Amino acid sequence: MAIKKEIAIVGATEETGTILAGALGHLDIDLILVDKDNEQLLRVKKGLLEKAPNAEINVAECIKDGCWEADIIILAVPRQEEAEVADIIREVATQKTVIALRNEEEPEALRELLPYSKLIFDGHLSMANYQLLINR
Amino acid sequence: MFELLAQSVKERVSISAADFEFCKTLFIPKKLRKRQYLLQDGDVSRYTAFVEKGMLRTYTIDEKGNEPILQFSPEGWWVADLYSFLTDEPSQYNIEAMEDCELLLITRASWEVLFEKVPVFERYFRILLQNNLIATQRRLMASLTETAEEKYLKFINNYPGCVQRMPQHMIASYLGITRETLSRVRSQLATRG
Repeated sequence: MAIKKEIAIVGATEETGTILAGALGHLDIDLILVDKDNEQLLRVKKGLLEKAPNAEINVAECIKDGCWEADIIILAVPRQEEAEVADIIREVATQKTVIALRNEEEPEALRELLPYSKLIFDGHLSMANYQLLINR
Repeated sequence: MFELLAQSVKERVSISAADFEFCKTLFIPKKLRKRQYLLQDGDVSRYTAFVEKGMLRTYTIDEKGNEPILQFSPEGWWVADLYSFLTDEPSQYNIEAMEDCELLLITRASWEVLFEKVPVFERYFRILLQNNLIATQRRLMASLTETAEEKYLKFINNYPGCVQRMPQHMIASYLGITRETLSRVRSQLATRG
């Protein structure tokens, strides 16, 4: 039985993060919802479990810890917060896939901040592609 | 995050600060919660792991549902199913976190890059493997010839400060003795002081 991949969504209480969590919650993964507001995180978790009761969902108020546990990290934060988050997770994101939910405009800044992560820029990653990443 | 790995490497080989900084970029920092698995039997082992914090057990499940333990891996130890890691064959082992752990994982591809770019790591791993082989031979001989008390004393010597972190039934499983025998041995040792 393969161990489930752990996917952290940083900015899980943002609109994009919540929608993505809802979609990923149906896949065979462990989801880690990461954001600064614990109450909001628990609300999002509750909403997700109502739609997908068998989903494995944990919450992490600490961005670093949430990403430390994760195998794949998704940045669902506003563009202007990317640098701050990248700074926090750099040490624990080495050799991990980090997905920035935007198109590849000015990728250098994020590549510089996360030089040893496997960066993917995609504002429209399909579920099929997520499944491929999970199966890798 | 890399303190114990640095110590482990520097105890065995000479390495420059720059080379060690490069080596750090090849590892995947991974936190496991208690009872999470690094590897489950039937899966191919994709990583070998260094334990910075916590403890794991490597075990298999026999046809009676018993869980004989091959190894405990506390801080400063490496843990892997090397056969599966090197051959891509499914593992027969489970590697489970006995407490919350902080691990440094490395894939085979990164391992090869490490050996190519920092050749001293081949020596480091050679030293670890030869020590492991010697320890394995000794443990095999001990299982055939030593008393339960001798096995237990060697065990606490090999895992200093760890016994309190291990359930008794797991220690008994590792030593290949019953819980009752282990309990008797511990009582006798406590009485003798």
